[in-house]
Amino acid sequence: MSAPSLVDALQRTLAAEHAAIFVLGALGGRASAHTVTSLRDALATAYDGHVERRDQLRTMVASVGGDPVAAEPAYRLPSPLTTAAQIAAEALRVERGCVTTYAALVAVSAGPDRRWAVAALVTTAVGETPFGGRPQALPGLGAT
Amino acid sequence: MPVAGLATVARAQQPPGDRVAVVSGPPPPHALSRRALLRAGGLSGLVGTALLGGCDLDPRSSTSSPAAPTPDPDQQIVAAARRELRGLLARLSPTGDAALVACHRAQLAALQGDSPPPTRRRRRLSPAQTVVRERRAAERFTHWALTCRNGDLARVLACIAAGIRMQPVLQEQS
Repeated sequence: MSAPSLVDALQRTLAAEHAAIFVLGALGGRASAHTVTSLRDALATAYDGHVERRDQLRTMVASVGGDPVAAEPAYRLPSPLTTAAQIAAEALRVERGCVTTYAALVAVSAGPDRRWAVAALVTTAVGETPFGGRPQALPGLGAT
Repeated sequence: MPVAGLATVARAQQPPGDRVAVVSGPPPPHALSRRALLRAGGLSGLVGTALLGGCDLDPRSSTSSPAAPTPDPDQQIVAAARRELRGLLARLSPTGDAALVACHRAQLAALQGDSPPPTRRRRRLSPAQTVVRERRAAERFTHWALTCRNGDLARVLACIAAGIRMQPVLQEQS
């Protein structure tokens, strides 16, 4: 099987950002019913980061001749999703999925694109902590 | 958001939340999982991938032909990365920094490096020195991830950099 091209990896990463933004937005809505402000703040921070990276990725995809993939109309959320612990666990799952995607992008990119992917990987991995993510030795290489 | 859109997705066969898994979950088929890396004895899978691409990352391997003696710069990066982790392991307290030691051992294993002998006595780092050394190591791994040629090696190095940044010793400082 041939390795994915840079544009394929960028598109996959952009698709992951679309999904992350949808899910984190929904989680933020669910979290608004809770009094755990740290969770709401963490969700807002993560959401803003993914929106910023989505916009950057659109530019990156276009710069290599691709047509940036659009978001799906909607994404399924797990159920139940009512307690703060459930919300945090789903946020952690989303973040870990994105970390794996960024790591895959690192492998097929070079120069500024790889720099972007490494920064996204590190930032998102560090951002797992508020959602209960334990420090890992090799985030993004594990089976998520 | 139209409800119809949600209903459309709700009819999909995926279990809850799988749209995210589809687009962001498992790495592509060529990717090396951490488990696979460790099960395969560290970097051997990575080296195998690199060899297919004409790039041998293992400094100890004997695949270089006499006609091509030029050292691969990626081999130097792998050797430097192993040295960095061994240096940290030699200076960390096995008891006081147990989690950090375990982290670096796993990272060294991913690079197929041997841990330093436990009998070697060196002055332990103070907590403040540990922060400085760990931060420097994260920066070095980031630099190596950005400068190495092989993409799979870059991924491992970047993940090590992220792993170091995740450790409480640096999280508490940020």
